[in-house]
Amino acid sequence: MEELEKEHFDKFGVYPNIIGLFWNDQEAVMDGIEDAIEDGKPYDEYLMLDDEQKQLFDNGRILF
Amino acid sequence: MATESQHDEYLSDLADAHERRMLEALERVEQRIADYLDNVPTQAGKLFDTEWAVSARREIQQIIESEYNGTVQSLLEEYSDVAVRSLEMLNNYGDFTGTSREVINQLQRLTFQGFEDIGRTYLDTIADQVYQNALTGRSKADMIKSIRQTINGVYMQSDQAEINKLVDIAKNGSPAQSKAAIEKLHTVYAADRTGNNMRRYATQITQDSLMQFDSSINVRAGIEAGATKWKYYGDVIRDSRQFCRDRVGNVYTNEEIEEIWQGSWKGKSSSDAFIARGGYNCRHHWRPVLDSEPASTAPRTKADIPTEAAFELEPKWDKLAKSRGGISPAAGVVINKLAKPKSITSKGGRGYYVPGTAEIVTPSTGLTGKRVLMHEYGHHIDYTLGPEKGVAISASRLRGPAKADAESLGVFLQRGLGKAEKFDGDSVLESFRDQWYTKEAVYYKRGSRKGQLRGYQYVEKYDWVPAMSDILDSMSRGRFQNKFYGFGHGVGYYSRGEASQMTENFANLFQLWSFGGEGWEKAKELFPRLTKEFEELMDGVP
Repeated sequence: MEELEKEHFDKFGVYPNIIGLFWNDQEAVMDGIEDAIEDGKPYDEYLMLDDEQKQLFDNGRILF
Repeated sequence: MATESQHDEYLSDLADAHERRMLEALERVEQRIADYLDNVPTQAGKLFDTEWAVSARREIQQIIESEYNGTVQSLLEEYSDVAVRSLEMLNNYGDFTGTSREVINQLQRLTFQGFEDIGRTYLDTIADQVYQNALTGRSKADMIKSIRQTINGVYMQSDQAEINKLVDIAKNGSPAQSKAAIEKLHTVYAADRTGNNMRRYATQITQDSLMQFDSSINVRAGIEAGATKWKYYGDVIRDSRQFCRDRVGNVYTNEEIEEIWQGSWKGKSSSDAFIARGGYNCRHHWRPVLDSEPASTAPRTKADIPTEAAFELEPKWDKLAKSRGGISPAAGVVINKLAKPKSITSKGGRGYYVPGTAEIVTPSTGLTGKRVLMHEYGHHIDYTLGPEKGVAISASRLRGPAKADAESLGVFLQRGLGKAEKFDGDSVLESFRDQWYTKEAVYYKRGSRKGQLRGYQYVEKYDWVPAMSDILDSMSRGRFQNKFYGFGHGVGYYSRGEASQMTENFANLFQLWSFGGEGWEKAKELFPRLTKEFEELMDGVP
């Protein structure tokens, strides 16, 4: 995990944005980061939420 | 027709009103006796006339009879209305017949005798004091002060403004102010440390008589209707005894009541469960439960509630909960007692709960599915038990215990820290990571590097690790996940604020508690205050 995060940082200049979306499945997070690196797009769990969920998340009205 | 809760409220308000009237009557008793004794013959300010002292008894008796007994009589007249309202409440739950006028009169007579005994006891005490003080030549002022104290204890009236101010605070201040004022008054009136005064006993009997009368009427009506089950009901307040907290809302058979009420506890007043209820000053009540009571109002005994969780949605969720050893019977009861979520659905590997709509999303298979289902269901219960819609109970109940446990472990963090920042609790977190996880190599799954070493991940050694890890992660504001890669919601989630930490604590505790076994034992060992508070919350689920 540490190695992948570093690779992500080296490639994009930012660490992956983990907001707890897959907190119970570490492998899903690692696969997501690997895909992001391969696809050239930073890993960002917030962007995986739809607009309504983003609003709920910002207001603490969705719990993972 | 009034429900049991409306009847409880009515009785509580009436008990308060009766107590106020009794206190006012005792203030009048005190003042009138003091005024009368102010005319006692003296020589150089000292009492001496024993004949006058003997005759004083008659006048004191008249004052007690007119003010105290007169007030008691007017309070008891209102018991007829209590009987009418009790029957109205009972008929909400079945077909009951009212208690006869004769029985009500007899109960009122018996109750009056209880009050009368107190009046007579204090008449003797006061009259004896007057006589003995005359014999020993005590000063008039000392005698009046002592008799005022015999009637109203530290609440007696005084000619010192400062003391009257303390009395006023003791009567009308906040609980803390009142307690401090009473302590100060005890230092002034050292003799009354035990509080054995007329006020104490009269106010207690005022409250207990009313509740016992109501109980007698209800039990009588229940016996006549053939009831063999009884509900112990009423409000749970801060001062409620643990004995009552543990039993309010439950339905018991005659045999169960006999067994439970055989025990002893602080404040127990009688061996008759229907009279004693929780003991002195108890404001809980009994009502009969007939087998014919409509299902919509019939309370369920603990034994009536199935221990196997039924989500009342798609059967696959019940099946998931039953998988891998099922969930604990206690968790099943809590799930079955409370309102169900609007929906449980599956959207890939995601797990979340939306309090506003009571929707759960969870993986639907395997150990992960079961863990996430119970975790998200924990969120649902947290909000269902909250004081109002949209507010979780964890916000008020878990904050203190969580902080205390986190500080004991040395992992309490006030704000989220970057990986490079220093934190004293890092060695503790690292130690838990090493105890709970094994480090395993993982390999790239796609692209040109497929099959090459991708790095390492931490794999949990025990089933209970994810929920326990997340509690540590919450306490350390996401540091356990962010720096040590344990399971947890992480800094990005916990930086939303303390409410997020508490709701996740609740969900994780529910997950661990519902799985039971080693995980819950481990949680109790590591988070003693949090788990204790959580168990109390679950015990109190109505």
